[in-house]
Amino acid sequence: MEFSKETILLQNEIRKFAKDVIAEKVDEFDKQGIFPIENIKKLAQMGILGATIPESFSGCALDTVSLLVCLEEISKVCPSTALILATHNILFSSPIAKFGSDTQKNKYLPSAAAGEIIGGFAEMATNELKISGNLDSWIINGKNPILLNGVANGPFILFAEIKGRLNALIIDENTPNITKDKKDNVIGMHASGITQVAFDNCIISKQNLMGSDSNGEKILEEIKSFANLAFAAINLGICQAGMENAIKYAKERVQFSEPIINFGMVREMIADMATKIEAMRLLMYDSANIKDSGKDFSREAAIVRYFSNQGVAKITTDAIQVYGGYGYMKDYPVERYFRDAQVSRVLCSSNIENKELIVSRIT
Amino acid sequence: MEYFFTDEEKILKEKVCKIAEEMILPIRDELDKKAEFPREIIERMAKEGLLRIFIPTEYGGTGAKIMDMSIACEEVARICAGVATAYAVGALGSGPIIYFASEEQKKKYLPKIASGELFCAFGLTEAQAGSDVANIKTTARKEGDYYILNGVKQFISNGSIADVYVVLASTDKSRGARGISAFIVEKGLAGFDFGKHENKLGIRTSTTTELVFSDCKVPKENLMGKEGMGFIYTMRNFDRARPGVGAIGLGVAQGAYEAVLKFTAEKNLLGNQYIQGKIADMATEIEAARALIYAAARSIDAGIKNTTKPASFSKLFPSDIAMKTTLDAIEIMGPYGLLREYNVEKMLRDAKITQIYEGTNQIQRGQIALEIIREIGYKRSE
Repeated sequence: MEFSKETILLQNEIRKFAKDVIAEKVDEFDKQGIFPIENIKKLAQMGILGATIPESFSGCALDTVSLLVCLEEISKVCPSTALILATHNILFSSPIAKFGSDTQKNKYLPSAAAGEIIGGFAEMATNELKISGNLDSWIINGKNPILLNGVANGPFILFAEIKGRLNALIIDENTPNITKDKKDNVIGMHASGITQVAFDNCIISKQNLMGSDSNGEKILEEIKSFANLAFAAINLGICQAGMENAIKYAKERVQFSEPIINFGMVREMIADMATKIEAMRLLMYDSANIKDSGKDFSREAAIVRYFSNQGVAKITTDAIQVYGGYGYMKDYPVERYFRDAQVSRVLCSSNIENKELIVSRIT
Repeated sequence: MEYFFTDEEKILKEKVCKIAEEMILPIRDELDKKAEFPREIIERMAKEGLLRIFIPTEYGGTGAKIMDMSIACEEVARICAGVATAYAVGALGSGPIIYFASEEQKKKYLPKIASGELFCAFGLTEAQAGSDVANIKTTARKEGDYYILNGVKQFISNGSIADVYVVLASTDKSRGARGISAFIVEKGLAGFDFGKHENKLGIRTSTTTELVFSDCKVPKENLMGKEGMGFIYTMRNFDRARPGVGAIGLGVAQGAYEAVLKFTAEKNLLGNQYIQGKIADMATEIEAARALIYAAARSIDAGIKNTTKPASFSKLFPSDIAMKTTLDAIEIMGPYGLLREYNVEKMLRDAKITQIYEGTNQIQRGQIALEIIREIGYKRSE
């Protein structure tokens, strides 16, 4: 895969930052569920929080290839941090930049680009909401156990079905009658600040509707396709890190008087990892190039998401297997990658949805 | 499917299922969170006679049938593989005693293991001896009426909890695997301590620690069987234990499958052919795993001579199915599958150990292949 000079420069910068800064506390943040706010602020200074925001709103409008490079590099070290960035850039800022009204763009985008607010996203599949309302406002009751970036207390996007139509709402951070709590309820991505969000007769004005009319379906479709690429990048980073760790360990670990990397059954797992990773990477950056060229990339994004979801499940399982009993202990990073992988392979869209999308595009 | 259980087997299955659902189910999440040993549950299981199934009738047990063990392990693991591990190891540790110890040792330990008065562990693995079992560095030096044990055992299930430990140590380094001997070591002996307490991905209620021996004087009558036979005893014990380990994997898969059925029915997803296909695969594979375990267990119980291959089958396949089923459960349940209250995330974390402990699945494949190679009389030509 050949990247542009600018992308390579950015890749080196992010790789260095991940290795020198993020890596330092990755284990501690995972174990204690600490949101890496300092690192996010530093990434904001590097421009990464404005990746999907036009320059006219103080963003840096990165191309998709470069953005995925950043997510992959960060995910290799800390998938939680990559999830925070993917949520903020792709699930929050990107749809506002594309579909938001001028008022909404002015309100959210410059501060999102500067990292003054960190945008969130309520997972659609777990929305359990009851909505009633009139012409000017809606009353929301119920909860969602998965609010991405919930801990950051920024505004977040919520998809809500109102009178049979899907609507994208932007919910402000200090809206009354919303409570968030962090229950350590999710298997992985413990540093990413996932919370539960509950609405108790929460009144949302129609001004919070994204864009001028409620074109929720279209917005959701766009978000899902872009998110497919983002989650593929997180999957890819996890896979790459899983493989690198497995290789390192297999070279060091001696059993039967030989490093276990010499054994065919270990080599089989490593070869399978390398093959899947290579295919994933090619598919993903190819899809990103299609997106950057302005063409419809939804089929390619669905294919790479589906493929990388399978890959990340297999590779993280095998990475633990290479480590044997050690891999099952929290002292080694493959245990964390395995848990994080479960989150990155199910959020935002399911394999079934993506298979449906693939078939619908080719038949 | 119909497995033609005996009346005793039916009663056992119902009894274990009842205890698991009544006692373990309400607190399994808490046990996992706190990573505390399920002492009360094990005591109740002992009281109900569930530890007796591992022990021969002449020592207060109900016959040490691998079939019984498989039934019980599945039912416990269906609710919690952590408790199942604690339970199975608590009695499986006694395996070598049953088959290789002296009459005196058997009389001393087995009735108390059957009643739950004594709880077991098996000390084999070391930092440098995982799959390479024969590479253990713990030594037992004979000095008068004692063996002096030195070394560290790693990842020992029920470490610090168990009262009686079957420990493997080298009595003659020059003889390698043939210089390994087995000892019965009781908790509280001077020079016998517990080291690192492991923090694990899953089976968190099962305690895993190091056993640390520093000039630990073990009376010579605690040697099990003959010097130099420890490795062979261990391998033979593995052959007997493997269906039980497979049954833990099977129980996890069954639990995840049931969770998926409940979820998809509640969310009205059962009309979807993608889901139907997955559910059909899960059900088929689980049933195949169960049939394989029962066939292996019945062969072993019937006294068939070489059961290495069926024993490895019965560990390899069900544990891989446990992994596949739990991964698929998360996929089907989507983001709900990630949440604690839906339980499949715990089952996924638990499932992973079944591919690793009691001989990794790579070791099982190696064993199976070697048996096949032996059967066909293949010799590699140069």
